[in-house]
Amino acid sequence: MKFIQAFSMALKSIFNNKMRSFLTMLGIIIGVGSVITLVSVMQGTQRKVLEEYAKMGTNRINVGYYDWNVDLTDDLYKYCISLKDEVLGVTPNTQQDLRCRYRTKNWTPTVYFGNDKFDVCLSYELDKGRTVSYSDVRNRVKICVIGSTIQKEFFGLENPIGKKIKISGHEFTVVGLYKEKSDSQQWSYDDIILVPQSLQRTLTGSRRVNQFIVKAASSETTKSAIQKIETFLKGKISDEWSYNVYSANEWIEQDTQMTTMLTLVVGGIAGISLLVGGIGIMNIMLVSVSERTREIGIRMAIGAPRRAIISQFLIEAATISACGGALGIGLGCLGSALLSAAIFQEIYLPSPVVAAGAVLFSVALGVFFGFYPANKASKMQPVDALRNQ
Amino acid sequence: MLIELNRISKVYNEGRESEVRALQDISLQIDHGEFTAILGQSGSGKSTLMNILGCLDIPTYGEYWLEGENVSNIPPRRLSAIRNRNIGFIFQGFNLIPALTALENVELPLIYRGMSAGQRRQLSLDALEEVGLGQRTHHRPTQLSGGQQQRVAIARAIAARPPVIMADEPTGNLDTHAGAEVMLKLCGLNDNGATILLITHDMQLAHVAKRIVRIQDGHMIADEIIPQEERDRVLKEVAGQ
Repeated sequence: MKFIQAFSMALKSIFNNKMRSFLTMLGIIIGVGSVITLVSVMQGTQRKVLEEYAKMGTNRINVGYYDWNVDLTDDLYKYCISLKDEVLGVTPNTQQDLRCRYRTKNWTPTVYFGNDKFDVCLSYELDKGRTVSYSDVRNRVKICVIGSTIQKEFFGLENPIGKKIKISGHEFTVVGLYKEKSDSQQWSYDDIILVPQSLQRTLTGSRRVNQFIVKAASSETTKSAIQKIETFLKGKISDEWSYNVYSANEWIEQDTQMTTMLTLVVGGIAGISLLVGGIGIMNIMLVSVSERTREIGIRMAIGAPRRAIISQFLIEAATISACGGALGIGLGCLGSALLSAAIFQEIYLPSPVVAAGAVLFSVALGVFFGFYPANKASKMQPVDALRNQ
Repeated sequence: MLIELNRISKVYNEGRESEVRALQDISLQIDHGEFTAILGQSGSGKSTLMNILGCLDIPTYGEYWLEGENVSNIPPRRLSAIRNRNIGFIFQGFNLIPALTALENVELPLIYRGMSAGQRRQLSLDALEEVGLGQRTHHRPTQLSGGQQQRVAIARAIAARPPVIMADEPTGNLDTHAGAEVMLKLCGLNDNGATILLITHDMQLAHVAKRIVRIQDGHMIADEIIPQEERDRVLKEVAGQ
C-alpha cells in the first residue's frame, strides 16, 4: 500500500475523532511550546549578556600595576605600543571624579585622562564634534569630549560644541560629544568627560599612570598580548599580586558556556513535558487500537498485510504529533514573544533551527510511541479481531 | 480443482483437559463454478471450517489446497496476501468500515493488492453498479439500509473477481425481503461463473445452493447435490417473499 493512501486514511481517522485527536495533540503542543519558549528566552538572555560585553568592548585588555615603588608610566606605555602585531591602540586609563561647572550648574562626572586612542580602546563613538587629538595631548590643549549624561545635565537641547565648562576650576572647551552607550542608568558609561592625558597633572597633581587599556586586534592577539605584557611586568615587578592583565574575553567565554548549559538544562526540563505528551499519544493509540479491533479484523480479512496495519497506525501517531508540533511552534512563538517582552522589553522569536528541531523531534516521538500500539494491532489474528463486536 | 481439503482437523488446546476437537477428518473438493452450502447448527464446527476455507485460520492436521497451492502450513501473517488474491468475504454483520464511504470500502481490498488508483476506482464503480448501488457510492455505511450495506459488502467481495466468494450467514441480519435480494444476487453471480460458498444454519436457505455439505459435531455427515427442481422451487419461494 502506498504511503499517500495510508496518510489519507490516517487523516480520516484523526478527523473522525476531532476532540480526542486535539486533546492528544495538546500534550505535544504544550511540550513543544514550552521547549521553544524557554530555549528562545534563554538564547535571548545570552544575546543580552553578549551585548553588555560588547558595550564594554571585546578584545580589550586591562593592564594595571599597584606597586607604588616603581613608576612604569612611560615604560609600560611604550612597551604596549611596541606590540605592533597584536595591538591597535593603547590609552592611559586614569580616572577621577571631579567637580565640574557650567554657568550655574554643578555636576561630578568621572573624568578620564586619555589620548587619541581612547575612543578605540573603550569603544566610544562620537555623536558630534571631534575627539582628543595627538597634538591636543602634546600641547596640553584644554579641550574635552563629554558623554551624553553631561550633555543632558549641562546643555539639555543646546549644542555643546564650543561651550566652555570648568573642571576643578580650570576652563575647558567642549569639542566633542559621545553617543549614548547604555540606557542611562545611575552609574553609566555615559557620565564621563575625556580630557588629554597631559592635563592630568594640572587637574590631579600627579602624572603617574597605573592603568592602561590596550585594544587588541582579535581574540587570538588578545591572548598573546596578555602573555607578553604579563612577562614584561614580571620583569619589572617582583610581587605577582601587584599587577594584573586581563580581558573580558575570558568572562564572555565562561558566560557563554554557562548560559548554553543552562539552556540545555531548562530545555531538557521542558522536554519532560514532551515526553509526557508522547506517552499520551501512546495511550490514545492503544485505546484507538482496541476500539478499532473489528476494523483491523476486517482489513486483515480482506487482505491487509501486517505492515499496512503497522504503517496505518504509525502514520496516524506521527501525523497527530506533527500537527501538535506545528501548533506548538505557534504557541512557542507567542510564549517567547510575551515572555521576552516582559523580561527584556524586546520581542525575541525562536530561531528556525529550534522550531524545525522541535517538529522533527515530535514526529520522531509519535513514531516511537506509536510503534507499540501499531505493532500490537498488527499482531492480531483476523479471526479473533472479527469476533470482537 | 479449486478447493481440495484432505483429512482436515482442527483441535484447540490439544493435549490439555480443555481439548476441543472442532473439526475431524474433513475431506472435501469444490470445483470452479460451484455453489456450495455448508450447513450446520451453531457449535457444529461450520464456523471453524469457514475460517479454514477462508484462510483466516490454519488446520491442525490435514492439507488444504487452494488453486493448486498448499495453504495449510503458511504462517497466519502471510495468509493475508492469499486471502486478498483468492477470496471475497461477505459477512453476517456486513463488516464495512464505518469511517469510509461505500466506494472507499469497496476499494479497500484493491488498495491492499497494490492496484493503481484509476483501475481500482473503475473496478469498484463497476462492482457497485452491478449490485445496484451506482447512485450511492459516496454514502457512509450508516447512511445506508442493512440490505444496501450488504450489497456494498458484496461489491467489495466481487470487485477484484476472486476465484471464491465466501458468504457467512449473509442474510442473518436482514429482513426477509432484503435477504431474498441478497440470495438472488448470489445466484446471479454464480450463474455468471462465480464460485460461491454459503455458510448457513438455515435449511431452506441452503437449498438455494446446488450442493449442501452438512457438518455436525465436527464431522461431515452429508454431501448432497440439490436437484434443479428443488432449487427452482426454493428460489421461487425466496423470491416470492
